[in-house]
Amino acid sequence: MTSEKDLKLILSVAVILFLVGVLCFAAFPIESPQIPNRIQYRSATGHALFEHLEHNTGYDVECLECHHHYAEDREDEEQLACGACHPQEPGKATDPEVCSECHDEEYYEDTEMEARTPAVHSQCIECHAGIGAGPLECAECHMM
Amino acid sequence: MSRKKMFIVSHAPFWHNGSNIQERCYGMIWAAMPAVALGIVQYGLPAVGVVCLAIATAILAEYLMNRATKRTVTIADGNAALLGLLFAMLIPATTPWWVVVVGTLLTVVIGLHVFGGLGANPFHPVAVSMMMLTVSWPAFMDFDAALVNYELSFKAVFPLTLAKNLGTAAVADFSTLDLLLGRQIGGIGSTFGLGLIAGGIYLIAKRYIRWEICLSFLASLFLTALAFHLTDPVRFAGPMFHLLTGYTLIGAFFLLPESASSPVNPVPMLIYGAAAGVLTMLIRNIGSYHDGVLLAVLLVNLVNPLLDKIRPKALGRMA
Ligand code: HEC
Ligand code: HEC
Ligand code: HEC
Ligand code: HEC
Ligand code: HEC
Repeated sequence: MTSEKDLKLILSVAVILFLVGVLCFAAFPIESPQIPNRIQYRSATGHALFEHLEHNTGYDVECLECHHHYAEDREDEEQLACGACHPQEPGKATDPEVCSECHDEEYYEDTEMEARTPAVHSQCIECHAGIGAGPLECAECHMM
Repeated sequence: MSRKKMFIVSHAPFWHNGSNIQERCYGMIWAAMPAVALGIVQYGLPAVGVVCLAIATAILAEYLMNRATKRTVTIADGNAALLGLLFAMLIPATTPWWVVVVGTLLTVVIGLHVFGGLGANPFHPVAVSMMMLTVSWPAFMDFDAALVNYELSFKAVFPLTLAKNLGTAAVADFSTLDLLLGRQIGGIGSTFGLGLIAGGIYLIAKRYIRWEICLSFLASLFLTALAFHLTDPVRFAGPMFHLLTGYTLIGAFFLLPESASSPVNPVPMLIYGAAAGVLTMLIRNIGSYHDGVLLAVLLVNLVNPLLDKIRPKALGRMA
């Protein structure tokens, strides 16, 4: 049914599209910006979508209100994730190296660091409750 | 005496619109272009990459399958390219290349050729592969997760996720006009309401698809959504919202009316479309998936052979 000419034509179209596709994927990979735009936390309790930049540009929350531990000398791009200090389970800091940038070991040794998830929860929810805007209920952040 | 040529045909009735497969497939590809174009404007070169890779993979896969099964090479009829394009239109622009390739292979090989190729597929091949991907890699098919790095000028949360979790108030920001203009996140080619409607009208006018299926689907989806909305206006979003979000429009014009997996008689067509509309809304409002269109398409594809039994009695036949 298909003439030899049509076949050649369509195969070459396919090959060209293939090359364009490969080129797009190779030359324009999707890079995560250094300052996250949005962050989605996936979990069995429902995925929480956090409009990171929008909290600063849209809701006028200062970076340092959230990146709270004496971070004013850090460049914007070098702000740490909460998990860099707050461990998965409550107890010692995740990465003592981070603390020793500024403290002697004796200084922070006895600090009981709050675990990451409760720390994030209390920061987000306390601010929302204080301002009277933004979600407070579990289901408003955690979407199945 | 020359050898007689035999034609083996399936049972009546037949529908012929004067065109052939090739014209229909390329017609559908053209009809999809406005919606794809907006996706490319919104998501840039990554979207171009996904579309090109999907179409190319589909054509090459069909070619290899034709060769492997020793059948006529059918890649020039445009069906493979159409399937690749439709698949790309449903997925987010950030889908990794290997998911695009695997998904397209599932579409062409599992969705189409395993069943015997064009005309023999009981399900829409793209609905088959999309459901397989949704079950296997939910994170890649989750628009909220996939598009986190895009700064968009509109609310970048998948509208159906918001509606399902938080009810009507949470989606009040999405005006009908916004949704028509594609100001919502979703697949590369599934969000531009006006573009899809224009494509659909073109397809109906050219008789590439049957209006009975599209309109009964949209009408029944609208009415079911309205019934839900009236029973609980706080929990269930209104009918216009459901008409213009998720895969509703691309489903109506590009997935449901697929020729092999949809009925051929007018009454079954109406039932088929209406059933898909009701199912979609049931899944969206009380099921566990955010969007019910793909599952509804598969379910009505499944009952399609039964529906086609509703047909005029053959004249003069007994019992
Ligand atoms: C409302 C609170 C909030 C505000 C305001 C905020 N951030 Fe963040 N930021 C976060 C949270 C939460 C994370 C994610 C940390 C994690 O995933 O553990 C984060 C992550 C980051 C990261 C990535 C860290 C990494 O290594 O993954 C950078 C960089 C950053 N923020 C910079 C900024 C800058 C610059 C600003 C101001 C323009 C800002 N943030 C404003 C809460 C905030
Ligand atoms: C550089 C290390 C560091 C980083 C990064 C950091 N924290 Fe902390 N955080 C601390 C330390 C140390 C404390 C305890 C001392 C204090 O209260 O200042 C603390 C305390 C807290 C508390 C109060 C806990 C309590 O016991 O009341 C909250 C809430 C909190 N952090 C949230 C966050 C969130 C949310 C982020 C990410 C946006 C974050 N922290 C990032 C070091 C850090
Ligand atoms: C960017 C430098 C810096 C880093 C990194 C840092 N801190 Fe601090 N921290 C400070 C400064 C500055 C103070 C205030 C010191 C003071 O008041 O004497 C402080 C105070 C504290 C305090 C006293 C309570 C308070 O909030 O004033 C504790 C506890 C503490 N840090 C623990 C830690 C731990 C644990 C880590 C590592 C997870 C850490 N710090 C990382 C700079 C830092
Ligand atoms: C310092 C104050 C502050 C902190 C900390 C904060 N928020 Fe908010 N948040 C706001 C404000 C203000 C709004 C705007 C509400 C509105 O305008 O309706 C908001 C809105 C939101 C919304 C709803 C609107 C949207 O953009 O989707 C979500 C979800 C949200 N915040 C999540 C979070 C999470 C998750 C965290 C913790 C990682 C967090 N917020 C921390 C102040 C804060
Ligand atoms: C302001 C938004 C917000 C609210 C309200 C909220 N959460 Fe979260 N929740 C988050 C974010 C963001 C994370 C991810 C924090 C992390 O792991 O660093 C999270 C993480 C969790 C996790 C850990 C998930 C995992 O897989 O590690 C659990 C469990 C959880 N939340 C339960 C709850 C419950 C229960 C409530 C209601 C009492 C609630 N959350 C309310 C934003 C919220």
